[in-house]
Amino acid sequence: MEILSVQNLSFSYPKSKNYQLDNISFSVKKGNFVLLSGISGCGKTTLLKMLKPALSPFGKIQGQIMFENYDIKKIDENISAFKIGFVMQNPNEQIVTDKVYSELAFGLQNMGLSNDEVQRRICETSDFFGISNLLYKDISVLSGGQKQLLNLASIIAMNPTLLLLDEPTAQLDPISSTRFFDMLLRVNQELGTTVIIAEHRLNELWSISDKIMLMDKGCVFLNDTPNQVATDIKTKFSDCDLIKSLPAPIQIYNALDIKSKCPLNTRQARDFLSDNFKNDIKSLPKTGYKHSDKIAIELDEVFARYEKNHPDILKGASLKVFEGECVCILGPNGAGKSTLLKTATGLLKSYAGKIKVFDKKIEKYKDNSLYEYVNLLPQNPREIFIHQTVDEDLNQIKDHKKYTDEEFCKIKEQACNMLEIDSFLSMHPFDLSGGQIQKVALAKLLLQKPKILLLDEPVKGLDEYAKQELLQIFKKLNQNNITIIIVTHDVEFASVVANRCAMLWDGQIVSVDVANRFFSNNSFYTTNANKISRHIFDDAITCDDVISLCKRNGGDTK
Amino acid sequence: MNDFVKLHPSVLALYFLSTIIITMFTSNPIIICISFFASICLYFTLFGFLQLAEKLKSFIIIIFLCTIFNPLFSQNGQTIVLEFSIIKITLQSLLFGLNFGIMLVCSMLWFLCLSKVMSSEKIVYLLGKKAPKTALTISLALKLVPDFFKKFHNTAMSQKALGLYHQGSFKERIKSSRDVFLSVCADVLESSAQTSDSIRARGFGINKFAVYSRYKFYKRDYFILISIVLLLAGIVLCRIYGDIKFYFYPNFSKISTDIYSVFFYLFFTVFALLPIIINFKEGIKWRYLVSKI
Repeated sequence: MEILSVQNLSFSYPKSKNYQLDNISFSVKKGNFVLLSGISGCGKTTLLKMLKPALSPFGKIQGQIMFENYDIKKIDENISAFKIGFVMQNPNEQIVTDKVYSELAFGLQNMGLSNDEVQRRICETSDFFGISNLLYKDISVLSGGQKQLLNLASIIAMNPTLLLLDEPTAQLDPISSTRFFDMLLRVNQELGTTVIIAEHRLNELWSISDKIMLMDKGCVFLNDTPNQVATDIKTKFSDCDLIKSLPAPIQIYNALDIKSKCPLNTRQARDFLSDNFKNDIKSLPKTGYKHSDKIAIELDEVFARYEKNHPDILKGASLKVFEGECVCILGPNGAGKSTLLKTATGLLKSYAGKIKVFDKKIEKYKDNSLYEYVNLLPQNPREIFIHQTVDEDLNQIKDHKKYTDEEFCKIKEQACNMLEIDSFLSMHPFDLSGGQIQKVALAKLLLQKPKILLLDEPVKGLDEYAKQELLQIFKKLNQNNITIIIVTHDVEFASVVANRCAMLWDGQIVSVDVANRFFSNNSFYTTNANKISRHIFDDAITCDDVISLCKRNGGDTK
Repeated sequence: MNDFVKLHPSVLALYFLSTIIITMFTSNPIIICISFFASICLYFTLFGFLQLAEKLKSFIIIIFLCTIFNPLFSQNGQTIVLEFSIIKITLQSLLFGLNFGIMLVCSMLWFLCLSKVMSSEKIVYLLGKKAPKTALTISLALKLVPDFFKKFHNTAMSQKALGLYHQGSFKERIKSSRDVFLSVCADVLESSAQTSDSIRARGFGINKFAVYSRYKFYKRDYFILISIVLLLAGIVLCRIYGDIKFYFYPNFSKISTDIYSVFFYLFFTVFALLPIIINFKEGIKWRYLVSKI
């Protein structure tokens, strides 16, 4: 029973010669869970929007889309609005009202249901999603994860048969994402809703999906069961750009020469390694890590809170960061990571403890001179930009720092070359994609020639390709002796970019160590590759580590 | 414990509207004093002693200022207390000022109580019955306006951390605030495009927007509503037949003690203290039930 059938669909925006979607054909069985992936710009969002008539973009459309055997362009408004649900990326922007229960009621009110019916559905849905205790609260006090769950709940309350999701967990931390995916799976299995989800986080969804569709440049190049897709990638596409975004088990399988079924999740991957590799060589040769002797920034028993009668956020946090190194600060949501960065730049005054930048207390830096040494890239990089074009924003720095024309041209050219942003200079900052705006924001910061960069979640919502770009840039900056402190949830990114990692928990730094040892010692806050291999190898942190250890141990089966 | 706030919004709206109108449009000092006393009691039960004390501090200043400035505006009155060359301060004008001050402060207290009791959802509900789309617009505004301020604050802080905000001369500070404001406006416009997508995607406008109300009219609400209507009827009747109009100039009116006036004051006292009586009654009932366990 097909709920959706797409035949030869092509789409291009008006005045554009390129096809956003190029001759796509596929069908979806009722009740299936379909995972859609591809690098940014491949057309995932456009494809999903074509399946929801109210959100379809204008342009040249060729081909046909059939929803439950009717042409989607001709179906009744009621059906297209209420039988097809769409969850967008940003939790905040989708919300319409100010209270939780009225958000749940909104869709139902649009359906014209009676008061009793609305009441009943709100009751059922909030219980199913476990948000009954939040019903009468203001939406502004909810966390990002709770808001996105609310968005999902308000759509499910309308009982759609097809649910479309466009990167719903891009803005969420790992724990909230897991909770969201669990709920989504329950919706699919218990309610029978067909789900098509576009995502970058493939680890948790790969093995539970019924079908996986991979896209590139507007075409669907693979559309099959998870097992078959994994095998096809190895046999036909082992060099594609998408490899680094695939789950760890598949990356490892792809690089090794073992003729067994591809492991799809962590458990299968563990068995795969135990069954096929000895562990005579347990760890890779390591060079010891040596940091410089100069301390760039030091926090000494810092206590901070936002308001006098509110609880402390930082409770005696201490951390030493040396010049030229890259330190990642990890920790659960609400632990105080952003607060730590704000305190380090003096935006929030700590009421006890010392903060020293290059051996001088930050209170002693007069007249904003602290910002010549330390700069902060906020979670939302749009906050850096206040002009109409990127160029104007960058030129703002010239007046501010009083550079001569010559000096400024040189610095600007250097920054643009390193970050490869020449093509974005004439664009409005808000028109740039996630990865592009991060780079441009970094450029504006680098024009000030700071010695210490503090970055708040620089890779949130980015695809693997953009993350790799940023990784190279940070490595180059470290080589130029610029100290970098990154606050992130992304364990995988931290494992490749950091020299040392620190864990912030309950307002304190509870462990600091060299990246390798840090992740090997953790059971939960560690990379997937580590979780897969820790039972046989000692300190394999990245997929490359695992692959290289496997190769050293030969491919002999036990 | 505050059962008054749990009544149906229409009943609450009617009560507050009547009380505030009666208070604002009467000059009878006895009425003003009763209203003042009742509003203080209600404020105390809603906000607590500390907040009440804080508010009273500023209110006493207002009353004092009204009292002493009234003679500057009104020189009528028989009993002269002080006399400068052109201004004569009479007892009548002082007391008129006092009365006016208390009336002002009393109205403010009632409004404060109103804003606490009538939360945004109740107002949205009242509008929702007649104009559901307006109610939706208000809900949307209640969400978007605080969002805007939060964004502004965040952007300003980020600019500050680059050393670009509130730097240098006054002119430059204004310019940086203006730039941040315009940028936040652009950001908000963009995200509201997403919100409108979300609204359309959930089928707004296809059918008639149904009314959703959380509040039911219970028997208790009927009972209180009838009491309010009866009391109001009594007040209006006594006002027509009784002699309660109070004049300050040239001299104070006599306070008549005929039956209509007495009942007028009595009805109004009960009316003004209605919230207190309701809470008190519920409190007694609760204690009684607990004592039986």
